[in-house]
Amino acid sequence: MKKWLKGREEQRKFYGVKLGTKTNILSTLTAVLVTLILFLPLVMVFYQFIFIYGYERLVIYFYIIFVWIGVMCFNAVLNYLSVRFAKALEKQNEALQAIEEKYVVVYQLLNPGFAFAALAFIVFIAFQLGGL
Amino acid sequence: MKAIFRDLLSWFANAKPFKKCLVLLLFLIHVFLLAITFVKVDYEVLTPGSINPIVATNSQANDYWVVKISTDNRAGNVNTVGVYQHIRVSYFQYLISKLSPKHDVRVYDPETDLSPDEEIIMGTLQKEYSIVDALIVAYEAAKAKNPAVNIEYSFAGILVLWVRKDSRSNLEPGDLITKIDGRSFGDAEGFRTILSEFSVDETFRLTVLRGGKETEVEARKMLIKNEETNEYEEKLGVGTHEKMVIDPAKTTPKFQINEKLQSRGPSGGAMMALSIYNALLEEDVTKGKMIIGTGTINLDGSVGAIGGVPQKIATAAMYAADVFFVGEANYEEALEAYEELKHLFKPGFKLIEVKTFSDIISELEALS
Repeated sequence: MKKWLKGREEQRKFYGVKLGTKTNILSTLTAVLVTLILFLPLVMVFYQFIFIYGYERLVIYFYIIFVWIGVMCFNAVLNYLSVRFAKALEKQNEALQAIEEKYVVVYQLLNPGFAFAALAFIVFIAFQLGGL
Repeated sequence: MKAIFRDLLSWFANAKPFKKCLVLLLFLIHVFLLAITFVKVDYEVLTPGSINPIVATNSQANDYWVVKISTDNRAGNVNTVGVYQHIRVSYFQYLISKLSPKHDVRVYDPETDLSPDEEIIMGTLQKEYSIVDALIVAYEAAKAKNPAVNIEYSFAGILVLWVRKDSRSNLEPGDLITKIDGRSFGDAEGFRTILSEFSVDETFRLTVLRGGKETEVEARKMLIKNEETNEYEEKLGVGTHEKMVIDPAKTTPKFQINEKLQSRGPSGGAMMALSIYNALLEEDVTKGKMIIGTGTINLDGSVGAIGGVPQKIATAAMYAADVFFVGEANYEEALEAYEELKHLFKPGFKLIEVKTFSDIISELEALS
């Protein structure tokens, strides 16, 4: 819980830091790209698994849980890398350098607001696909 | 950008040996997973699929209808069963497919087997003719019980379903052969008789309907080894089917075929015929039971062989069906799969072997 609260604090600090436009765009885009590359094998494995075992009706619940956890992990890594890359780009920014990004991962992994929104979206998509 | 990479490199350089090893291990796992999911292997996988009610009437709506019969009768809870076919799967898919006894994993030979696109074309053509054949069989059977039912149809030609890669016929899937060297024929037997007059060295002309236009193609027969007899036979090197056309104006009650077909292949023919038959009669021959079945329907009413039987039994076991009809040619295979599945879960349906469409009706009449 302490780490989670610390992570929330660190995330808020990051949102409060004034970043240059270039740093902002570059750190975000690079973080998205690197996170996508990191998650690509897992996405491929999951997609191909669904392709073969999609006929099992129980797979839909596995699908929802796995995608949900996957989205939460993706968000955590993305936020972690955004802070890390921003720190690499603005070494002179003291407020930014003071942020401890490892706590951001803990907070984002268990971010209730994002978790609820992600689950609602995934269930909505599953309904649209006629899976539930 | 450079700063980001410098930061990552310096982090790695300064990391403890354990962390370095962990990163390298994760990198190797990453590359390995990418490789096994991207590299394709020459295997095809058949998995269980889903069931579909395929006939609708004025009183029984159905989102997945293939044929709609204009009556107020019930089409019944009659379902075809489909399987999923995955050609040239990834190495990862090949490995996970081997884990389930419900899957059929077989070697795919790109040199001789049909490509995925050719499979789609063939499956669509098969579905189209199976609908026509099911309508004919069902209307003819219903006509015997209710004289108000009528159907008029005629022979249209020989439909080409697939063409071997080494065929010398210049035919294409979807071609409708109407003449050989200018000579017409009235059925498949007539076609075979004329064809037998030509030797493998002779070139002859085939008149075909291609994309709605009449055209002529040159053809020669070829020698194809019969795997069962080990003897060579003179053939065109194409898969064909006797195509019929129904005269809608002279057919009562009216019917409608859905132009947007959601499945392919002829294996639903027998069940489609049963559902159409039920829709044509006031009496519910299905007795309100949930029926699943598989097998093609031939114009003489016989139920033909199909593939993927174990996967179809596994699919049916996922639903609360009362009866599963299977053709004579596939019964042993179906029974074996049925017995095997009993170890995994209890299929609730009764497996019934049928030879003809009238066997299906008799079996339903005998059900309590």
